[in-house]
Amino acid sequence: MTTVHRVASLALAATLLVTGVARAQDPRLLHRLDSTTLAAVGALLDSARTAELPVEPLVQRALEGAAKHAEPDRIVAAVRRLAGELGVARDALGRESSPAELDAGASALRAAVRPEDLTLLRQRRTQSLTVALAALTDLVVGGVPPDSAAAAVLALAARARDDQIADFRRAVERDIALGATPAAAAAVRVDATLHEVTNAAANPNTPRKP
Amino acid sequence: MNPGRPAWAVTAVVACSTAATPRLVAQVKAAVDLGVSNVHYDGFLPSTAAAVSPSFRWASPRALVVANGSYLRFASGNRSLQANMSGSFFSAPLGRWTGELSALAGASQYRDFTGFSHALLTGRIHLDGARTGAWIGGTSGTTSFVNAQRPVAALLAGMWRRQFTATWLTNASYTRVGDSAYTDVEGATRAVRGRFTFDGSLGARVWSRGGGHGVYGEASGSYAVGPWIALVLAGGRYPTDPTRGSVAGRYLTLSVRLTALPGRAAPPPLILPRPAIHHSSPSSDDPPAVSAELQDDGGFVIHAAARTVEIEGDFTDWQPLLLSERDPAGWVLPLPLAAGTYRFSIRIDGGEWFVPAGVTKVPDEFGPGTVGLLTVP
Repeated sequence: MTTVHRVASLALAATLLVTGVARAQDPRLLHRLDSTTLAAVGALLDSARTAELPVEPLVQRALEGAAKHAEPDRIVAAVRRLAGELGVARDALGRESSPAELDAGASALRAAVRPEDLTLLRQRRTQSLTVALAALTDLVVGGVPPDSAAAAVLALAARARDDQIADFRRAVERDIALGATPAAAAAVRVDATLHEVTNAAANPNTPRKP
Repeated sequence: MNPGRPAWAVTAVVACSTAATPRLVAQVKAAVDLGVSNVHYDGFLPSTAAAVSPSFRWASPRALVVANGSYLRFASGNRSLQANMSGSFFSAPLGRWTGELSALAGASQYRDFTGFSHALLTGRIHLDGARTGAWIGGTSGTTSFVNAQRPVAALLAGMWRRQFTATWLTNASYTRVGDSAYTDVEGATRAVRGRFTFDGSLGARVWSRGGGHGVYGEASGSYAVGPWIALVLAGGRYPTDPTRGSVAGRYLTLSVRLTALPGRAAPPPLILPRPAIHHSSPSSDDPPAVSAELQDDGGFVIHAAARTVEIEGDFTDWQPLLLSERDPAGWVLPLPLAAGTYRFSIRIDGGEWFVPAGVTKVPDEFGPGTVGLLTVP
């Protein structure tokens, strides 16, 4: 092989390598991460795509770290952790779950909700789980023990609409702010919400919020 | 609202539409008030008046320009015309300290013969925290009545506090205008709840030489009928202002305010330069009294009395984005949000990033504070 051929081959290989890396990366990351972090995050994004996990939350987590001038290792660790949580959420919620549901599920797992509760939620609720999962996360972050929070949301899951679940969460937060213990607030409010849901079902002509 | 006072005295409303110039990397707002007032100046008989009051405001994290005017037509046929313009420049923050230099000029005329004008320069030093702040400063300038000029000097001090959805303000000032001198002590508050905005103030001229005495107070409430129209009811009593040439009086005003929305001109989202240091929200149990609200129509609103409100999060690729000012204390995200869960933070007037009340706070993986979690169904 002549020198010219060797140089041409090397150039072709480098081009293929660069274009391969660029295809794996999100262009928004190119100028926000250093090359080492970019490569590590790119590999995680590739893995997520292969596993058919949503990639956008991972990109945003890396951008968040870059915006906050986090150490490269910390950015990579955060993206890796989120990818793991998305995977667990997908396993718990099922492959048919939407990206929004998986993202909300990952947040719930981060808040210490058990994967089994996510699975139960999927089984009991036919509508989208995004709001229910967000309410579950909010309750746990607000101080309601994870098992109590899960029990409350699961009790509402089958029949309550999204707006009723959101109202329930707000009511619990308000009670906590007024001095109620989180677990007691969740228990009392879930009873009230179940009563409302039952009455609404029994009296469909009762005026409701638009 | 206050027909005897300059500038912010607005009565009836018709919206004018000074559309935002996209090249301005800031918030632009223009409005016109049209209304009817019942006015009772001290020493005069009560009178009704109609008014047209345009206003314009341009704000960025480092500068603020405000211009406003008021045209009053009294039942007698006499008229009053007032106009003011001010510009403020804010220094880069040095820790919690910020400097402000502002210039104000204005003029007023009653019928065809009585004319005031003034030009003032004010310097202030601000010490600002997330929930409280204070300032101290001084003013120097001149005011003229017809052709007679008088020097103006003032010392100012005040403090503010945000609590829940209200901002509380107290201030004291000592003012000399020629041979006249007076000391005012005043408290004010602004509260926003949904479509309602309330402004109130209560003050007293505790000492005076030629400037009158007494207690004064004003209140106004506005209800946003839509994104660009609001009903305003205002009333109260205000003191003599020798600088601007207004006579003490009482008033009650009902008006309609039409506001031009920069968003209608569809300017591109405004991205501001990122500062060198990013602060995540302190993990305090005592968060700043700025609240967030996801509305039924999907709009995301930050309620805050501020010059500027910026947001960054999963929906801005973590680049600061200036929110659009919907009303005096309502700031709207100029982007539609798809269903999903988003992390975000906001900052007020270029200060520190934090999470507003009304949304879930979760630990920040990249710092000691928290980030907000917003779920759009």
